[in-house]
Amino acid sequence: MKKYYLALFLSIFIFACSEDDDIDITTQKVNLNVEIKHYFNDKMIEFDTETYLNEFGNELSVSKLRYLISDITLTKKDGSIIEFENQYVYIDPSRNRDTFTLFGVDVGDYTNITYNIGVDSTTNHSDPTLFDADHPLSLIVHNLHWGWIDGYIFFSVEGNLHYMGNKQLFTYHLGFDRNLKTISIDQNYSISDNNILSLQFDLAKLFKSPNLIDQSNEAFITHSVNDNGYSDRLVQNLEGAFTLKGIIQNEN
Amino acid sequence: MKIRIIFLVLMVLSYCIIISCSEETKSQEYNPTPYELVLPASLPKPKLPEDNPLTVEGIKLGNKLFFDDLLSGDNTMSCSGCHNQKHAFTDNELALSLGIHKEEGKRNSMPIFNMFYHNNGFFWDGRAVSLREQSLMPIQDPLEMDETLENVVKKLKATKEYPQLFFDAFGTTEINPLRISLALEQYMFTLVSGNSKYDRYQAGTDQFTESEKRGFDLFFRERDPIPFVKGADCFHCHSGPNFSNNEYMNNGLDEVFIDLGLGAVTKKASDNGKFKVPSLRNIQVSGPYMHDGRFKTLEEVLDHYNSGVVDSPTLDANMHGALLGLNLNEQEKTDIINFLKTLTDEEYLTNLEYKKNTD
Repeated sequence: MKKYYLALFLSIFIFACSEDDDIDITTQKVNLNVEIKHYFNDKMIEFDTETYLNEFGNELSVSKLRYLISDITLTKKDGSIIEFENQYVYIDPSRNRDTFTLFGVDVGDYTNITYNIGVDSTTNHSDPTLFDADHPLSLIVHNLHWGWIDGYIFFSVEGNLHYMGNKQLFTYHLGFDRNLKTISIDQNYSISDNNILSLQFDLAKLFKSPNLIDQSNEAFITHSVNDNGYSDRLVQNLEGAFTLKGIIQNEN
Repeated sequence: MKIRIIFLVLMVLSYCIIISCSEETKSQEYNPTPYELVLPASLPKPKLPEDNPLTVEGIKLGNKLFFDDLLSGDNTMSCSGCHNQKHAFTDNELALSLGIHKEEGKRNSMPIFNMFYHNNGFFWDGRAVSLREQSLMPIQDPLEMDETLENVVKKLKATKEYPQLFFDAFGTTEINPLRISLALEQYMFTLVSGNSKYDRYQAGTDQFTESEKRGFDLFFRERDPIPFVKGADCFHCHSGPNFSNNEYMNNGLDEVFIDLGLGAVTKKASDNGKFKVPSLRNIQVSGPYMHDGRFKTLEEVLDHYNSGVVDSPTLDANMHGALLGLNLNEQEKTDIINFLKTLTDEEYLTNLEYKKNTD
């Protein structure tokens, strides 16, 4: 008889425990802040004021670095995917616009974060004046746009390259539907309350791999047309330029 | 009996007092009428500051302040002195405005319309973060209206009408600089320009001439070196529905900076020679051009971008093409100017609601 009582008691305990787990793990949702820090190799980018040495021994400075993010997905350990379908993000670290929030993210373990640099074709050729003036795709917020036919500039970097005693202005404006780039980062991380997911973008890698690029041998301006594939090679390099540094606890 | 009568009199008296009191509160009820900003389809919905909702009463007060000479040191000049609606609220074709002491200011008077799109500071050098902050600066500038805010408050308090107008707008007769700036901000937010020929062309209700069409194409086309494609490349900076990217940029006016612009505010050498990219709406009527009004005509402006751009340490990367020369011929320059003239909005320039309220 005693055994039965014990079994009953234990089963209640286990049941209670598993119920608790259900509440904690599968239903608790948090708002996840995401930050992107922008570097050139190991140095955080200081716009206009700092110079950095590239692979070919030339100094360069960065005046603008701007891009659009869309179609963010997080993959959970169980394989299920959370999509943030209608969320668009405009990043401009020169104006401290380098964080955003993903709302209603399940607490738990994850294995991947994926997002696009740019916007899908439909959005790309829609009327940008229809967005409210504070929407990330509004042309009041930024000037990453070529007009309705060509669509958005997905990624823009501008600056000065110093070589052979000269200062050369460069502007790389990457876009068009073919250049929509998916960034997929496989890495384990756990999300709980009050977390920041910290990403890093390394501009040096934009010129490094898989395509090693010597800026001084390339066009100083590209608008992603008639550029002998220069913009496409830069876009290919985008994927390796992003890394996930991990989850940090929000101090605030 | 005597006591009864006294009691009755007291009753009646107190009743009167109560009545008069409640009437008093009734006439002082604060009940502002919300104002709905109606924008044409060509202008995206703006985000206005939540702590300063537009009201009919707030706008009326802002209008009165904008046109009131009391805001200046010798009571001779209002904001409208250098911001004339006919010229898109700029100063009557003057390169530099004259303040109350008849001395020239430092920079060209800026137009006022669609102010709700300015999300990156105000003035040519960005020294004001918000429109309300901006609104108080010309009042105190010795080269402009040269008056202290303390005096402005004193003068407004001494008038018959202002305490009541402040009550109607903000629920208190107490006048202070913040409330002055909030009212001015409200009035300026109502100045909307979005019904130019360009807007109507975009909406499909008006036609461009062949020249305007060619100008439109050149305005929005990038200059490419290889293979050589002619483009004026204006739209990277004069972008979006308000024809400005709200940035501060060096557009190659000087090799040596006479005026440091943004750099004088941020104290960063990398910001020297950078000035706010102005909207091109109503550009036809808001000359002369540039922060110092150095170019009298749009032809001079086009000549600058076509062949007059000079290099300097902070020249914007987007000026690369212009630095090499745009190689536009006379016809192409005329076409671009004809396109720019389609940005003139007669409705805004003559809108009676924007004029000095006389009732």
